[in-house]
Amino acid sequence: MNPFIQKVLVGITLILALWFLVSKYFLPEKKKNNKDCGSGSCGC
Amino acid sequence: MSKQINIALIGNPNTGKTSVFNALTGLNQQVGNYPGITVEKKEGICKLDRNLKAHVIDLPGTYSLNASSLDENVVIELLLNKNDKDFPDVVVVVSDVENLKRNLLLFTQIKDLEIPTILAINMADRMDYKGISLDIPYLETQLKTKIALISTRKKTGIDDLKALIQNYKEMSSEPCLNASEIDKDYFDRLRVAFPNQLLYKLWLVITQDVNFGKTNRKEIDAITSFKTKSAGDLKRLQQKETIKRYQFINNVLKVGQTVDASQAKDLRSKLDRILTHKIFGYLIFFLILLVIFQAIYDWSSVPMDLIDTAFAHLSEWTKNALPAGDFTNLLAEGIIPGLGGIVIFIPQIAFLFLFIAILEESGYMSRVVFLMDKIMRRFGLSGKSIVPLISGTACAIPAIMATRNIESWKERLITILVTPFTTCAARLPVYLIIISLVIPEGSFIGISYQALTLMLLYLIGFGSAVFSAYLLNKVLNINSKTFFVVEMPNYKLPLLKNVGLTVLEKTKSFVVGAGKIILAISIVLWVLASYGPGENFNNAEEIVTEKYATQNLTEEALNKKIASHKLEHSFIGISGRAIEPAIRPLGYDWKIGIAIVSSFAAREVFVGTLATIYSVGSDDEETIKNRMAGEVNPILGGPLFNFASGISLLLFYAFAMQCMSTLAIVKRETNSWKWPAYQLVVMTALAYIVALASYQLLK
Repeated sequence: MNPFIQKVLVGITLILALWFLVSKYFLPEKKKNNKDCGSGSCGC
Repeated sequence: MSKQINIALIGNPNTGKTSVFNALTGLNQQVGNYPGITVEKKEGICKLDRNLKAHVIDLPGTYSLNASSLDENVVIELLLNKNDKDFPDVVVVVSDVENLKRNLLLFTQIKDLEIPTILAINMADRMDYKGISLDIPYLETQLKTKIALISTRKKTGIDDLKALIQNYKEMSSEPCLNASEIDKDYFDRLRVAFPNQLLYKLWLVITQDVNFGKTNRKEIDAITSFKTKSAGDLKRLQQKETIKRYQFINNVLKVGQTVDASQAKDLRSKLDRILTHKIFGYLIFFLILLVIFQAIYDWSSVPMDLIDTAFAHLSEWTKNALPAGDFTNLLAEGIIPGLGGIVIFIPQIAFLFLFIAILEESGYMSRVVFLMDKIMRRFGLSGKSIVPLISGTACAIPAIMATRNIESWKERLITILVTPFTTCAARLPVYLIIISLVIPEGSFIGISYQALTLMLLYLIGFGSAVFSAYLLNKVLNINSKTFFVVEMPNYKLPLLKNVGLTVLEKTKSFVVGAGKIILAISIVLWVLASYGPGENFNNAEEIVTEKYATQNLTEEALNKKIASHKLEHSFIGISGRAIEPAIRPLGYDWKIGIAIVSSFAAREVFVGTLATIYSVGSDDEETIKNRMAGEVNPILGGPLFNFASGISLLLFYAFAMQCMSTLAIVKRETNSWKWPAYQLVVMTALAYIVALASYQLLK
C-alpha cells in the first residue's frame, strides 16, 4: 500500500479517536427525548 | 406487524423482581439510565405470541408509593405520567410469598391508580417449606386482580404469568379499597376542585416530598396550592391511609392465607446466628474474601496467559501480513497491544463479579450490611454505606449512585467522598500486572503471596475509606437525622441464570466501556510516540548508527537502540521527560509517568498505555508482561519494575483519584464542584506522599 495512503489512514484514525475522547469528556451528554405531560392528560 | 405493549415490573426489594425480568426477557435486555438522572433503567423485550410483544421495564425496588429516595421517585413519576412513552399498559407487582402482607401495601396503592395490575407471587416453591397455603380464588376476588403463583427458581408459573399479561385487557382496573374514606370531607373538596382527575393521583402529588421532574409543573403547583391542611395534618392522613390499607390486607389474608408454623423447617435463624455473630460473622466474611482472591488468581491464570500470547501472535501476524507502513504499525503496535491490555483481564474481572453476584443472590450480602453497621456507625457511616463500598469493587460510579438510598445527607456525602478509595475493577489490571512483576510466586499456608498482596490492597482501600470517613465525620459540620433499616432476604441457592447474566452484563460493560476509551487513547499515544519534532527524531537512524559505529552491534540490537532513541525524542518522550523530575523520587521513569497521566481518563488505561509505549518500534513477539519485566531503570540500572518501585506504584494507584468519570459523577450527585475538587487534591496528594515514602524506604 502507498505510504501516503497509510499516513492518511493514520490521520483519519487519529481524528476519530480524538473526536471520541472530546465528545466523551468535554461535550455535554445528549439527553433522550421524552414526552412531557401536557394539558392534563397525565391525569395529575 | 406485531403489536407492542408496555409492562412495568414493580415490587419491594428482594422479591426476585429481576429474576422475573430475566425469565420474561432472557437475553433480550439492555441497561441504561433514566433521562436526566443516573438511576439504572433495565428494559427488555418479551415475545408473548406471534402478534404481541411486550416491552418490559424492571423498575427500582420500592416499599410503597411514598417515595423517600430518587430510585422510588422513578416508579411514581412513571405511574403518574400517562404521556410517558414507557407508561405501562399493565403493571406486574412482584411479591414474595413469605412477605405477602408487606408487599400488598404497594399493590393496593398501584391498584388505586386504576392501571390493570397483575399480582405475581414469587418464591412459590418455598410455600411447603414455610407451611404457607394460599386461597388464590379468594385473594383474586378480594384484591380484584389475577394472580400468578410463580417460582423463578423452579421455573414454574412463568407461562401462566405470560398468559395473564397477554389477556391484560380483561383485567379489572377497579381499586380494591377506597382510600378517600380516611377524610371524606377533604377528598370531597378535592374532587370538586379537580373534577376530571383521578383522586388517588391528586393525593399522591399533594403528599409527596419529591420533585416531579417529568410532569407538568403548572398543574402540580395548582394542586400543591390546594393545601387546606398543614404538612403535619397531611402526614397524619398518610399514616391513616397506611393503617387503613394494612387493615384491609389483614382482613384479606386472614382468610386467603394460612401459615402452619409447625410445618415450617426453618434454617434461616440458625444460619443468621452464625453469619451475623459478633466474632464468627467477621471471621467468616474474612475467610470468604480470602477464598475469592485466591480463586481469582488460581482460576484465571491459564486463560490470561492464552489471551496474552494470542494478542502477541496477532500483533506479529498483522505486521507480517499487511503491507509495511504507518497504518500497519498503528494496528500492530498501537491498537492491538492496547486492546490486549484490557482483554487480558476479562477472566479475573468475570471471576470477581461471579463471586459478588453469588454473595448477593444468596442473601449473604444483606447479612454483611447488618454485620458492618455496628462498625460503620463508629466512623460516621451507615450500614447502608457498605453497599456502595462493596459495589465500589466493581466501579465507583454506580457505587456513588447507590448512595441515594442513604437517608442522612451527612452519611451520604461522606460515603460519596470515601467510596473512590475502594479498589475498583479498573485498578485490578494495574494491580495484577505489577503484582505479577514484583511479588514472588511462593505461598504461605497454601495461599499465594500474590493473592495475599491483592487482598491486602483491597483491605488498604477499604481501610482508607473507613478512616477517611472517620476524619470527615469529625470535620464536616452538617446536622442530619440518621436511622438504619435493612431487610434480610431469605437464604437461597443462587440462580445460575441470574448469576450468569450479572457476570455477562458487568464484564461486558467494563470491557466495552473501558475498551472504547483505551482504544482511542492507544491510537493517540501511538501517534505521539511514533512522530516527533526536530533533528533528533527525524535523523534518529543516522545519529544512532554513527554513535554505535565502533561497537559492532547486531542489526537487532541497533534497531532497538534506534527505536529507543526515537521514542525518547518523540512527542510523548519529550512530554514524559518534562514531568520526570516530579515522579523520579517515586521510582518511576518518564514512560510510567505518561501511563499515569493518560490513566487519568480511566485507571485501566495504564496497562494499555505501557503496552503501547513498549510496543512502539518493537519487532519482537513478546507479551506485555515480558516487555515490562525487561525494562531497565535508566539511572540505577536493574529492572525498572522492582519491589520498591512496584510497591510505590501499587500504593499510588490505591490512593490516587485517577478517574475523570468518577469526578463528574460526584459533581452531579453533590451538585457542586467543591467536593470533586476536594477529592482530587486530597487523594492525589495522599497518593504521592505514600508512594514517595514507600519507595524511599524500600529502595
